[in-house]
Order: sequence, then structure tokens, then C-alpha cells
Amino acid sequence: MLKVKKILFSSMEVNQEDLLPLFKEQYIKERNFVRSSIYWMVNSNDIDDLVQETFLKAWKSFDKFEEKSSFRTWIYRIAMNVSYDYLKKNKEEIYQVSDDLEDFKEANLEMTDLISKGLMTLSLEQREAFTLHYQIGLTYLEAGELLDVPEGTVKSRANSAKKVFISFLKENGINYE
Amino acid sequence: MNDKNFETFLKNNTKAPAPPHDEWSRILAKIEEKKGLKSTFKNFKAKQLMLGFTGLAICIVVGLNTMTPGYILNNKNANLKEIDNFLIADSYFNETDTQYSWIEDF
Repeated sequence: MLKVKKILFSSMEVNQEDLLPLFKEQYIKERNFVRSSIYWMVNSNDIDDLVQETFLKAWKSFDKFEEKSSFRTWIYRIAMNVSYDYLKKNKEEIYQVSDDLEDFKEANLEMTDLISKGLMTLSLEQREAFTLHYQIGLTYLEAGELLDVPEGTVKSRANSAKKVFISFLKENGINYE
Repeated sequence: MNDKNFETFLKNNTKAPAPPHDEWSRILAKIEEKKGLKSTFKNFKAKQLMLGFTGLAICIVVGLNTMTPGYILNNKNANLKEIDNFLIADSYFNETDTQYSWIEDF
């Protein structure tokens, strides 16, 4: 579908506004993927703002998007940049979330909360691989394309993340096997 | 635990919050807002540039007129004329009368 964009641009002078229907089409296609990717990276209530920011940034340079990679790969990179920036700005708050883990049993938090917090104990690289493979359900190859690393690297990161994550759950008294 | 079971476990216990129903409208509104700001900025920029260029042109014209050799020469002649006038003027002799009155003694 994005080939239409090429045709539009090669034909004559085109306003960026003319690309809006194409952009909307891509938005509909990838919005859930973008939302999940960001959410599992930052685990924050600001998810709506972050998704919006991602699509706005993508729109800003949509006319320069050259289809060297797929739209999904491209927007994923934008989404991760937005997420990393957010994590940098909210470092203290995120550490505070991890500190609260001690109170998990007392607070009787739901499993969802525990999983979210467990994710935050992973390194960013591990979290990306873990989320893409185990939570979003991409193959190692697909995840590797998004992360621009070999399939084996994703596999190793996802597996080490899984080990850390499982031991975290066990430490908190969760045995799901 | 194998990967399949692990994935199922995660799927059953995790879910990203649903997007707001008007998400696209919000994005669109922001796009429009930015577009508006951009065009205002462009107009503002064009006006500023025009003013800037006019100001610069005026400075260049004035600068050239005052810095040309003709202007400098005219200015020099005017100064010399002023000195001439002062020396020839009666006041020069009158004012120096008392100062140089001893000349008359010779």
C-alpha cells in the first residue's frame, strides 16, 4: 500500500496532507502493536500520550520514509526512542516502582502488576526481546528484524530475560508451573 | 516450563490498556494544530525576513554614501573652509589683540 506513496511522490509536487489517508491506514494496522510495545517497555499510565507522540513523530517524517524497511520496523524504532526518552526522564519514578516490590505480598497486588514490575527488573535490551517474543508473539527472526540484530542474539536475550523473570516470580512466591 | 506454556501464562495475565476510542481524532487534532503553528511561523518568518532585508538595504545605502571617497573629500574641504573662515574672520584678530598687544611696541 505504501507503494502508492512512491507513485504520488514521483508523479508531481504533493503536499504531505495528501499522505494522510495512507498514514491513517498504517496507524490502524500498527496501533495495537505500537501500544503493546511501548506499554511493556515503560509500564506507565502515560501510555496514551506516548502512543500519540510516537505517531506524531512518525507523521512528521512520513514523507521521508523510504521503505528501506517496513513501516512496522520504522515506527517501532520511533516508539522505542520515545520510550527510552520517557524512561530517562522518569528514572526516579521507575526505580521507586521497583522498590515497592517488597510490599507485594502485603499489598496483595494482582498478577498483572507483578508481571509488569517483573518486566521492569529486566535490562532494556532484555525487555525488548522478551516483549517482542513472549508477549507480542513475534518469532525470533521477526523480532531480530525489528531490533536490527541477528536471530540468535534475540534468542539469547529473550532466554536470559525469561530466566531473570521466572526467578523474580519465584522470589515473590509465584509458582506458575 | 516450555515457551508455549510461558507465553500462555503471560497472555492470560497481562494486557496492555485499551486505546481511547478517539485516539485517531486526537492525533489528527495535534497534526492540524502543528500545521497551523507551522504556517503561522512561516508567515511570521517571511515578514521578518522582508523587514530584515529592507533594513539591511537601508544600512548599505547609507553606509555607501558616507564611506565613498567623494563624501570624504567633500567633508575634508568643508573642514578646511571652516578653518579659513575662522582665520579670516575679524574676531580672530580682535580676540588676539590683547594677547599680542606687545607687537605694537616694536
